[in-house]
Amino acid sequence: MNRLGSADFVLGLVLVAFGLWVAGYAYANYNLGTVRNMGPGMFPMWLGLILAGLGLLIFTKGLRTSGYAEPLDLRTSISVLAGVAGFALTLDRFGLVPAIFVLTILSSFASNRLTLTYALLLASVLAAMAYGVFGLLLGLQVQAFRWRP
Amino acid sequence: MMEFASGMGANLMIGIETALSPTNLLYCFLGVFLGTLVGVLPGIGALAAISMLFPLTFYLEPTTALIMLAGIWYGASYGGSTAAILLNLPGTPSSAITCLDGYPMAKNGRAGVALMMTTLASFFGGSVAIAMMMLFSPIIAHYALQFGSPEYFALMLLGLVAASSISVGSPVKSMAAIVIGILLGTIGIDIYTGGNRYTFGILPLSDGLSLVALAMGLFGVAEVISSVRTLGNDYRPKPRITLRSMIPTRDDLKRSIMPASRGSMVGVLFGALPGTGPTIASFMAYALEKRFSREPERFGKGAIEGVVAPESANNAADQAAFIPTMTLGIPGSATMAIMLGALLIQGITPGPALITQRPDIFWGLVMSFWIGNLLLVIINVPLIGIWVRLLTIPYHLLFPAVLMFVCIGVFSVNLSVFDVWVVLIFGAVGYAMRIVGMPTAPLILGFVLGPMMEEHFRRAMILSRGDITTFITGPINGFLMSVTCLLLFWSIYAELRTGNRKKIGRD
Repeated sequence: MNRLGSADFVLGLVLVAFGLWVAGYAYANYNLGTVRNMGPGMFPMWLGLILAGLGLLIFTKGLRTSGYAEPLDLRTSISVLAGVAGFALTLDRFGLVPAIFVLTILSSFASNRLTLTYALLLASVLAAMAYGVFGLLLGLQVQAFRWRP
Repeated sequence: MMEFASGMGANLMIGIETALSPTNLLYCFLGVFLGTLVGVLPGIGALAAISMLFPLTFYLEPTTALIMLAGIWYGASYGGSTAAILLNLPGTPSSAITCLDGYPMAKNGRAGVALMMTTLASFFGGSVAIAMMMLFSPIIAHYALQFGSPEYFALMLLGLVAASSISVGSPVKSMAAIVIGILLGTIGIDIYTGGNRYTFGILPLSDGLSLVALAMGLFGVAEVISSVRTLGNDYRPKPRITLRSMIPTRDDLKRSIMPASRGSMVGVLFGALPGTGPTIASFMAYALEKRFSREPERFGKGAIEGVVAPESANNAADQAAFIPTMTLGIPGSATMAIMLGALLIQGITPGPALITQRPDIFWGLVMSFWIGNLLLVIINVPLIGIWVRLLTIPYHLLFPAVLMFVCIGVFSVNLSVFDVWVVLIFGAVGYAMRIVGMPTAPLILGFVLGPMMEEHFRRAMILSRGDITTFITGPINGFLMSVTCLLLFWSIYAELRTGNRKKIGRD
């Protein structure tokens, strides 16, 4: 994954596509107005085109270079992102404390040194800290435990 | 002249009164303390620190919030140097240079002195910058009051282009990041026409993306993902620092005066300019010292000048960055954009009018800088032992805590789970940007400045009845636009010829 293709090549293509999409969407859906009296669509449309232009520059550069700035670490990124997703899904349904546990356990997969037992311990400490800082100190209105699956 | 002096005197009184109020003092202390704490911890930079602690400031008054945020900012910058000296690991990007001579000093058993001189140099640099801010801000604001919408647009455009051309990393990618940021800023209800833009029927999006969520995702989550691999498996030695070992020799002090002075000047210059900040300032100051030193071979082996110059430069730059942000309302870096965002959320618009309309905020902030810098010195001498112990916390225990603070913090702003999803998405986007070498800081700049730019552009067009040349007519505009075009062409040219510059800075 690290040595395949060029970062600029992919990035350029993505930006061109994204820029054109933004511009097209604005053109099709929003009132452009005149330059004198600009509608909501004018600014985004031109920005989209500029972005596509920049993407084109990056793409042409990508035809000559190769490599990425940083290697893709799939395990770490998925663990961390899954943790955050887990938090978001759990918070409303089961409360803050379960959400913190889900977050800690899922993101612990990112690190070799954070085993399950340590993760559970850490989650307990963090939950207590969260209650102290956000609950007591700042008066945040979130329930520690809930049951609304 | 007399008028200026007495006017300044009145300002100082207002400022001191505001800065010394018990609430503001407390939060200044809290900010500096928390900032240093987070800055010391490797893997969490000043930007992530501010993003994490940002929601706390919503409960506060605007002045207090700003004072606290500022304290976090220069506190974190300072904290980063501690890790740099003791572990050869910069806690913040701006302390990277301090590793070069700071770590050898530690290895020579002079860690205490290095830390002490860092503190003093930072105080010196900060003081110079604050003095500059006090002298020049009223003048800048006075002239800027004559700016109209065309001038503001031109100035903001220049700021953005400068930010991408001058800072490290590929200029074209930085510009692309800025444009993406501006586009993200258009999401939501359009103030002029009342229609929704790019919301796709998702109700929470009508208010636009939350700055906090964006910042936390791009800088907090993405940074964690990047750092876990590199930092998660480190072993930490336990250095011991005593109070006595911190006292510098007379030779140290003598050698430090000129580097600190030169560093401060460099810092003020690079801090005030958009696109550059403490990181570049510290690099430049170090390079300057080495070039003009009579014993350049001492650098890299534990020369005190190599620690003092960059440290005074980066603290001076930290403070000076506030000058354009507060007087013109134009942030030169992502951090300043967040500061600006914090004020905007509180309903305050920084700019030339701020000094006259809300002198308590402006001068209160300036005076709090003095207090904050003083607190830095006072706090850090006795607390050095605690910071050292903090450095021994392994990262694999730390990063879940960071994630937790990010998640709860962003949720607490609007009690919205949607914002947590935004953090998730931009955490992924931020990580992807790092992989392809696209700097993330310009995105926040574009996001905060974009809506204002659009407003000024539209207004300028209405006033000029659709005449685009309004941006080039007039001496100010003509100058600004020509510099902008020059920078644009230069950076595109430079980019296409050579490769990307390797490092990606995040001031």
